[in-house]
Amino acid sequence: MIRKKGRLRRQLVVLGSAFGSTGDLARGLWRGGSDKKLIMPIAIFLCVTGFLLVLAAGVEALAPFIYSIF
Amino acid sequence: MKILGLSALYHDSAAALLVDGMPVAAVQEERLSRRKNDSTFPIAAVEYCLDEAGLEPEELDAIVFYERPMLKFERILTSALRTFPRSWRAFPHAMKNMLGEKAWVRGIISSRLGVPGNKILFTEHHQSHAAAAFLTAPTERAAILTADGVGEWATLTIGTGERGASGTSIVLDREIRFPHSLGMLYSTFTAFLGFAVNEGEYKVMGLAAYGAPSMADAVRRLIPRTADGAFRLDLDYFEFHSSARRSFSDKFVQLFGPARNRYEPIDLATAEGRRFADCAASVQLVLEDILVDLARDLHARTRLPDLCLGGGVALNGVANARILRESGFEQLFVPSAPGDAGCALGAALYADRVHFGNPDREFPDHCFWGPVPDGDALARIAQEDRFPFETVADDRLIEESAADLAAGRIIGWMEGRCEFGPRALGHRSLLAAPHDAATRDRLNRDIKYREEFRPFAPIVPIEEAERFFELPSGGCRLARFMSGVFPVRPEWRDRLAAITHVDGTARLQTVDRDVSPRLYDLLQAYGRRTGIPVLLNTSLNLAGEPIVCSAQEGYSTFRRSGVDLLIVGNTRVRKRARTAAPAAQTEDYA
Repeated sequence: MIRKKGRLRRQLVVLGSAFGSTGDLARGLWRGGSDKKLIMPIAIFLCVTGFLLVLAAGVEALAPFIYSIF
Repeated sequence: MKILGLSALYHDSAAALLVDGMPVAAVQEERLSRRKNDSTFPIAAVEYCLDEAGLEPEELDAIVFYERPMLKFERILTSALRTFPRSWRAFPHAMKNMLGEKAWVRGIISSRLGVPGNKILFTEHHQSHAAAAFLTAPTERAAILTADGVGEWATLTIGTGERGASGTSIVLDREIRFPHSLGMLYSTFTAFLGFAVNEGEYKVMGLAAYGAPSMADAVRRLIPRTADGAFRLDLDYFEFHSSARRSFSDKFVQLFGPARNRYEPIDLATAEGRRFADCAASVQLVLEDILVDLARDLHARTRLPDLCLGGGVALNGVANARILRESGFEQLFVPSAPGDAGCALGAALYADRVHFGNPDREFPDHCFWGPVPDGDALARIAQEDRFPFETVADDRLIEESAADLAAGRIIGWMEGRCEFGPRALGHRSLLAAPHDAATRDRLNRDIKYREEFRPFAPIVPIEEAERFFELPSGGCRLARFMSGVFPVRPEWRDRLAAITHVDGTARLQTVDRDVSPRLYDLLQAYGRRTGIPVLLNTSLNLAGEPIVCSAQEGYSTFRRSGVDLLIVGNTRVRKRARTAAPAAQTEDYA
């Protein structure tokens, strides 16, 4: 039986793993040759943006603070 | 070890569970959620797999996802930047899609199943396809070819697999990378012909038989061959890599004419309808030619007798039959689920045999890994619905079912665990007499509600297949999971009109008594009555719905369509006083 977790808890687990996933992407790009290294900044920027969007969608109480960044 | 394989978030999610190297359960999410091609996280499928083994998620040793999401993200990002500024419209859409959920797979699995992140592993997409094809096949050494739309970067891989007492290895040493893709070529034509991509490709294959490959040279301009025997796409004709709006360019339209409006039926009596059929025939021919060339080259390089074929392109039964006939391989193995759903099983097998180095185990040679329907549930629901039902012993059930089929009735046949893969292989099937084209028309009109040009498949005992169909060496095996299209012998075509396609072929399934004894006995009982132990077999579902899984879903389909009888295990319900099609007389067909 899979125990159902609350949405907030689930989102926090996802967020907790996002650093590792972003690190994986950065490592992959770093090893991928010079042309791929060039897209690292935009990749990391997009990951952080996505990360904030997930946070905004998942943790509603934080949404006003996150939207104010933009 | 207990290893759960997952395929999710693109199309056709699935879960598969291995315990000590042997499969315990595997099911597509759509069968449980009732949403066709459900791509959401397969929580119901995971729950079913764990229940089947009596496990809690914490007891799993590893959870293996079928591809590397960050490598895929890298490909999407790189492609968008390479095609900038053409990609500027598609870029936000792709990023929202990817960063909303797909990039965070480790966290999603961890949060949904409550397992630590260090138990979550990733294989590469085509490694999963290769493992699903090779490690489920009854061979110890084989060449491997996988082809689909796209995984992370690879769209087609070639290599070899070896397994035995010394361990298992899968080496994919050559690959073709995105955007050059056979799957994307076929999908582009699928979209051009007005069918849904990732869903309507088999309609293109069915339509191809009505056309002539008069535009094959034009298709070859789209996919020139390279000096090393591979291919590349001429990207001037495509937009799938730079646009979310459509997959073909204006230059493509100049070459092939206007695309079909998906809401207009294809009328093969008109020039426009024939143009679409010719387009389908042309892309089908070019796809086959390229696959045969690649397979022939692989055979020359490896000198192995067996080829394992995986990826969505392996669902193309016409191409598979040509590969078997023309490539030099003696046997061609295509798993029951060569597409992305099958990657759940492939990923779990790859992790077990290759990553963890567990000893090789012989894989059961069938595809029945899903839930079992409950005959008692059918009885209960029929009783509540005040519908007559009866429970019948096997022998009587088989004889009476054969009589019903011979009398022109259509039977919904549900037994045992449901199939893993897109085909109904006799456990969730609609069965009917194969002799009369009127049966085909009735199925299309009253039950399946689908296009007239789509053929129905025959099912035959393995020993009788050669009598009715022209099978090359290895054809019986390829037909085990309905993976090959073969000619119906000319002398039988009139008597097998409902399953003979316009070009005289049929997508055959052979039945082995060891695998499906009741279905085998039904075929033989039908053969004793009519002289032809062949039945029409199509999936038990209505248009737009997934194949049924439980008895309740079977009953719902039965009540909403023109199916005459529904049989779940030994429980049977029958519609009252319906005028059946003309009865089949033994002397008519024998």
